[in-house]
Amino acid sequence: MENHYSYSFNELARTYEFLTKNSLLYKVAFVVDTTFSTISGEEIEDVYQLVIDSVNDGFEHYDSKVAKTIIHLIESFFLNTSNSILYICSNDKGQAFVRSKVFDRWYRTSKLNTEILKVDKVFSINISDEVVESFYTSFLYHKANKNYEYLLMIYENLERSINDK
Amino acid sequence: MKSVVANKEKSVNSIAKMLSNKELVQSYLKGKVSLQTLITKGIKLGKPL
Repeated sequence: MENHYSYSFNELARTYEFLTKNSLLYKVAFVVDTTFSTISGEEIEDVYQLVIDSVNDGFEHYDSKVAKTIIHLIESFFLNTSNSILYICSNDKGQAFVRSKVFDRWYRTSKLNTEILKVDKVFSINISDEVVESFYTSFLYHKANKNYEYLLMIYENLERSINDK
Repeated sequence: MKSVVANKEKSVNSIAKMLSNKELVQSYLKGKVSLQTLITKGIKLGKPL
């Protein structure tokens, strides 16, 4: 028996979907991300944001196959070594920092970290005269990505332009 | 390698857009907004697998 749920791409909805044993429907979207294109001034392809959500808002029993399914999806995504993910933690309920730690723990304990490398950056942005908010981001790329040095340079410039005084 | 000099305002706007896109797509996944809304906002969902 497979250790992950089977998933499929819904052409109409443009999402990958899988149903769990608890009848929770998960949807996964790869959003074409233009951040690096905007910063560099040229078209940078194959950069996506990954957005995952379950459709039902009800109580979720722990189900290890959910994480395994998402890992399988990400592994499949990185079979194309040009693909990369720019990830930003939602600050819903002020939990961005906690989410970044959960994401990091998930990455380190997955077997992804032998092939897929992750760089984290925190952006500090003044959202008013007195309030500075921290935005937790990660960039994931395949170690065989031929363009990785350039992508990392854009990511570092993004950080420098925001965080430098 | 080409060099990149990022502009602060453009960078801050990019981060804000990234976050707002994510929130909008989360709403879409929950069925609260339509795919047409994403398209109108310039958000594209890929099929990279």
